Amino acid sequence: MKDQHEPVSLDEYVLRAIPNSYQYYQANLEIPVALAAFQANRTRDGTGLSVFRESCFLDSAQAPSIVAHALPKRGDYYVVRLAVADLKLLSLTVLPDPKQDQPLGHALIPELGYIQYEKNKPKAKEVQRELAKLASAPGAIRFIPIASRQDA
Amino acid sequence: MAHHRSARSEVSTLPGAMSDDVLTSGGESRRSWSRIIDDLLAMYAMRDNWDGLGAEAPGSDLLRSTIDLVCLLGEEPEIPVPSRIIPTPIGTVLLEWQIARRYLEWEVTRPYTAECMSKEPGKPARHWTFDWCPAHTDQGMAFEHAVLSQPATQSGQSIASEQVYIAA
Repeated sequence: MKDQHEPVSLDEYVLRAIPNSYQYYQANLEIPVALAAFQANRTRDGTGLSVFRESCFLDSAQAPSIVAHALPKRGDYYVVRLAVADLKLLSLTVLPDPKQDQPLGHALIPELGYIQYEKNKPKAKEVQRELAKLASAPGAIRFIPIASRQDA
Repeated sequence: MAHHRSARSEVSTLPGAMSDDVLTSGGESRRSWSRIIDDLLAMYAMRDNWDGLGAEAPGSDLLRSTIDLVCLLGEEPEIPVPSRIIPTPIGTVLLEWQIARRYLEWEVTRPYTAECMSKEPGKPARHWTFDWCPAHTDQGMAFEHAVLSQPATQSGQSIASEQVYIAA
């Protein structure tokens, strides 16, 4: 288990919560996860897109569920798991960003923050698409909202 | 008038564009244009923070213009129904087509303007913008392609723009 202030290493995994609404996950598509799942929020994600470090949890298998239930809509999210090494291949970095009002292991991907998005939208969209593909790969989804488990 | 070629050319060249059977590969079975309109109408009820994480709800002007766009596209029999239509966390609306490994999205970023991206396997992504005008004319629907200023560009370059008017 890593301290959440430690630098992120290439062998780590990060978790990203995806809203369980408006077809953000649609199982019968080739890329079920929508690109917008990696769209930075204008106000909250200015300097980076929020993710959570799996290695900061005592029981990494429980981490996706803990993250989903710690967020405001209490479990009503999909949670996907991405390898930091795969993010690096997309020229993305992960920086520790522990916050008291966030689940354990909060970190940021600065290249996906809203400020960067605004600077080069075409490039950002292409990266978002690659992330959606990674998040749609078999085994990437680690938590499914209870209400959606039959569909997924 | 056949000046709306650019709108049609980007969407209708999706493989299987005219086949409902193929469309099922890009979405639920026989998903219809009216269902897309229903999805958009439902978005009028959205409020900010709809995801619990501070997402913005799309404004009514943007939704109105998106409905106009969907009506515009739906008029063309060879244009497939989008695979998915979703609000984004920044208050825009995304229309997405996924058919036979080809990906196309139109993001309505402000009323009557969409930023578009297409991606085919083995080719660089293409980006352009697409403008249309309100469907308020009383002489029926006809589309007039007015401006195609530049060819579509790849990422990192300036985005081409084009305008489509729904006009008499």
